[in-house]
Amino acid sequence: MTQTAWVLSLSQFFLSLGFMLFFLALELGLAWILFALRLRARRGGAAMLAYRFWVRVFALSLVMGFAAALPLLLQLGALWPGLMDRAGAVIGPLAGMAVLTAFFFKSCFLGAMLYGQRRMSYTAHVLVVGMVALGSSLTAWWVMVLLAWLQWPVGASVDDGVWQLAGWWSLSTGGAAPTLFMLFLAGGLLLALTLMLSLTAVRTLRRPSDEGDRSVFAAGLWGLPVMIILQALWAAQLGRILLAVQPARLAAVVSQWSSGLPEPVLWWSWPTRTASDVYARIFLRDWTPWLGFTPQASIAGLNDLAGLAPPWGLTFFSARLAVILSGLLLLCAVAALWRGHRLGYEPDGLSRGHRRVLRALVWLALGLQLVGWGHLLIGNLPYAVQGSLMLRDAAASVSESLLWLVFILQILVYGALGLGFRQLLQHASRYGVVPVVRHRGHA
Amino acid sequence: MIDSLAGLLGLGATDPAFWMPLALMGVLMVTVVAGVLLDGFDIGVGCLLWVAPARLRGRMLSLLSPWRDANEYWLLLGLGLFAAAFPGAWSRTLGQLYLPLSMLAIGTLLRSVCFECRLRAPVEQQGPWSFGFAAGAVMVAFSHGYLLARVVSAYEAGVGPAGFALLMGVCSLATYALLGAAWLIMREAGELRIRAVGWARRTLRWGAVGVMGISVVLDFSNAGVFLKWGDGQHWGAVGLVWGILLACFVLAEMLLQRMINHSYRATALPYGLVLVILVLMLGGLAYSFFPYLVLDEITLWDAAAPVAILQLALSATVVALPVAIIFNLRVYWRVLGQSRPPDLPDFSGKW
Repeated sequence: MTQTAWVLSLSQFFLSLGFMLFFLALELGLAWILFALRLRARRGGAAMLAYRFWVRVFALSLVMGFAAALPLLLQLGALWPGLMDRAGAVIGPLAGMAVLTAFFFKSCFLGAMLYGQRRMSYTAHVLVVGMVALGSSLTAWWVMVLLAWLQWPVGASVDDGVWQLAGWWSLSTGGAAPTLFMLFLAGGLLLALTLMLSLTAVRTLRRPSDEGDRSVFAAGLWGLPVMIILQALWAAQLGRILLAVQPARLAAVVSQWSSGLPEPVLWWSWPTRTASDVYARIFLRDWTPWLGFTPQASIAGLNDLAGLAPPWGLTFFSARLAVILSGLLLLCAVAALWRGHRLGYEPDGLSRGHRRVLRALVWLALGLQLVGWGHLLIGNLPYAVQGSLMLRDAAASVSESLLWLVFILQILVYGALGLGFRQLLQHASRYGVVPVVRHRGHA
Repeated sequence: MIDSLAGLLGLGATDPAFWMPLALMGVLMVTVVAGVLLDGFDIGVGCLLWVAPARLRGRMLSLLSPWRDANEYWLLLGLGLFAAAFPGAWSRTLGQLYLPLSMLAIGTLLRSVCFECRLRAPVEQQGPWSFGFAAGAVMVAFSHGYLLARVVSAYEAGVGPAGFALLMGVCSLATYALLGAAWLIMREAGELRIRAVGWARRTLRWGAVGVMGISVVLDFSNAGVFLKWGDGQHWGAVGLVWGILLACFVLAEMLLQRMINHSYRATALPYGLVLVILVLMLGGLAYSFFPYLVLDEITLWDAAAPVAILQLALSATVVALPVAIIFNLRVYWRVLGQSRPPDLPDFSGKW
């Protein structure tokens, strides 16, 4: 497999995975926010207004996330067929469970949530909305279990190069899975909250705000900093867990070239390929104790790992970029909260500049998720299953020209769908949502 | 037959390692058949959007609307089940099919997303979404035929198999268009029906080419399959299958010919005939392949996951089946017959 083919295969897979994860996260975040809104909307009012608007955005992102799952499954087979040969006993059931859970909850509850509100009592509808949120979480749970297992294989044992399931319980609740899920949930809520703030800022530009806008605005302003902090904490926790199982990632993150005790973790430093210390240190402080890990054993340096290390540049910079983006987002969120508090949580009073900042928050949050997931996935890289199965060995032999063809097509299609999603959101924020009615059997 | 098969594998007929893969394969087959039949007219109508005049496209799409949610599932469910229960066949089948699978993936994504987004888009933005839906449908239809041809010709490389795969891609496109057109003939009166009759007439013979091509290549490129069909023991059954196929094609052709002359009796019959053809073809394929997933190489028992996982998959199926029947198959119960009664002429109170 040539380097180009390798990079192309990876890019294709990560593109589909990123697309699906983005909409899955957004859908998950919105599902719980909608549940909260519906719970408060017993007698109509502000929460009901907000619910009516945001349930449409939820339905749209659910459609996108659900549809994006199929290309991912197909690519898993077409690009990395060896993965199922060697680890099919773990990946297969987890993927199957994710599909089945999505199927079950979508069939049973989604239709009732979207189209059956008027025919149901308040309690019944709240229950249905809660079940949809639960279903989204369970689906996301299985996906996270799968991704966490690739990072840290627990609950399975290797027998003659083939993974066998050892314990269903330890597989689905052990290892990095719970942390990764909480991180994903926080990320989803973060995305949903920034989207709510941003769309509210756009909506109230053209017409005076209603009760729903105000309640969403206040909730978003308060929720956002909390979620940023929670996400940072869960990310730190995940990093701490993975330190022990992924020494190569640690070597890349601290930019350690020769074996020995780990270098101090610096906030910002410029990596060099030599072992001699030529960092352009900006923050000289050693943050190692703050991260709460005091390494005793020496770790292998990047020079000695010889092909078993992740791409150091991407791993190194993505970790720092994620920290910087989180900080920036937090800064904006706190400033927005302060400003919003001064305005009495009335979005009408926002100046154009502030609205622009609020709109930029979505892109910031999106960038943060992308960089974070990029770090997680790329840091695992020479391996598909950490420590045992190289991703390169699992790849299919496909000619470069075909890979190029499909990759370009994929970029065009995913790009068009992403732009279309944005256009629909813009239209909805400007003119309100287009009602969708669906009858069984009639057309 | 079951006992002899079990004996051949050295397992008892009640051994879970024997019957569980068999049962799951049955469920998988049902999913595939449901996907082709129920999602098929959806794909077909999508393909026909390319040739339909702009004023009819909206109606065609809204005819599909009630079944979209349920239709999306079949492929995903089938893949999930395949991944969970038969991981051993994954690399030998999916790993060889990069191009058609990528096309299928992108096409399916386009179909699901574009349809839903079109519903939610304002009228002036609906054009690109309809285009995306139609493009996705063509990609899916073509890739189905291409995939089937590759599987049937045992993933052989070369110009011949590639050309055959292309031909089958075109035929499968035509077959789905035929299914869609036949469904439209049944669903809707007026101009759409007249046009659908024309579409069905043009695609019917390509459908026949496809069915014949797949059967002939499968038979003559594989000695085992040839022996299965031609060993002289079940001439009756073989003759019956081919007789029914021939009768269906001829009858459909005659019916469509009559419809051109404005005799719209039995408008549901062409759709029924096409369904029979497709079911027979899929059944024949299943019979030819059984018990192999990759001909002469991997049987379904070789590819099956360990019993513990099969158990899990079966119990999951037991949970999913009632849901599928109650919530999804119920959706289909008005899929036959006309969508709505024809409009009355405007009498406007002059009587």
